[in-house]
Amino acid sequence: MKDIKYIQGLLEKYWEGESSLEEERQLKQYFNSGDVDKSLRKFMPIFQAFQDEQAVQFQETKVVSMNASRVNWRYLAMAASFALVLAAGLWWQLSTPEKNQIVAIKPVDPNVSQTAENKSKIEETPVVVAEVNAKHSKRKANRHIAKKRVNKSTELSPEEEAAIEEVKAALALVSSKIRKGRREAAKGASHLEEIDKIFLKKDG
Amino acid sequence: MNRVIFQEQIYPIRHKLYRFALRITGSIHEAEDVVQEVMEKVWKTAPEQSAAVLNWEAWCMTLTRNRSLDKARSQTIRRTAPLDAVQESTGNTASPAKEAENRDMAERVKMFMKELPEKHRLVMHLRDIEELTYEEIADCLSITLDQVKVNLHRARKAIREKLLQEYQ
Repeated sequence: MKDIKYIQGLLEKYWEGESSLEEERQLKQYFNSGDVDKSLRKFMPIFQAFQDEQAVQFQETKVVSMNASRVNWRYLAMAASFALVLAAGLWWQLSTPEKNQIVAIKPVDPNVSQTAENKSKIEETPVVVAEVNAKHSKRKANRHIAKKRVNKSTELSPEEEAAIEEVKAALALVSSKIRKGRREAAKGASHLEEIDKIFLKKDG
Repeated sequence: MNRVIFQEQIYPIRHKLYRFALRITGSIHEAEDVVQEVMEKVWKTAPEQSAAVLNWEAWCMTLTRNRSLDKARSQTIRRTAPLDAVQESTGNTASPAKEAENRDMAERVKMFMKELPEKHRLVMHLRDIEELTYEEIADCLSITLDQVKVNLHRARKAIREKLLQEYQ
């Protein structure tokens, strides 16, 4: 046990607000040691309270959420890229001129007599195909396949056309949202990652 | 913000900032938010502003104080969560009668501290719990050294008197 008069002297300076940090640490140590003079025990709760308060720590729940956030952004970016590619592929497939070409070509029944109207349609068909082929030369090789399809019932009903238009519009919307989301994600992620790296490095 | 300064001077004082924010707001969640916001703000500090900061701890404490006061003023204060948690835990422990009494009195002291006027409360917290120098406290609270000492003296005296009244 320390000299009681020395402690009493420190305590007087403490009440007056004149003690140094070192003297105050000595008082805290003394009063939290468990070996306190009976006459001074009444002041123990004060220093006990200080010790309790000093033990309070910041629970880094928010830092964990920052980690989770970083991972989520990464996965989100990957998913967005995949969705974008998928959407672009679907859109390309749906808007390819081949379909239009098929719609434009009417099936020709050799048994039907060649009226003036039918003749004009037959003459128009190679022109349409030629225009499409000029733009999409790679598809020339598929021309005969397209012509084979002509024999099937390929004309789309108004409902089907409306459905395709709706799908196109929906895909366009999704595409624009994904692009916007990726831009926003990239902004936030770069900053969070910087702080996060420091926290991880420190904790690790 | 310099990464080294952040790692060596800012990150280690997060608990201190949290306790200070908790002292002002009285809410665990508000205090956590304050620490996050202060950390973010410090991280985003422009290099030219960083160069002008001489004492990062005092600067962070000032930011914490200002942000905490904003929150405390703008929102309903939920003061009792940390105290309740401690009271529950002490109530469940089978400690000797004397130790239980001391614990109970320590909780009373914490309550007395919360009831102090704001200046007294903050000065006492920064000195007796965070162990800041008088100069650092003056910087943090934007008051003079004399005001620090006067507020500290009054705060300690008030706590002592209330404690002694409890024993009578």
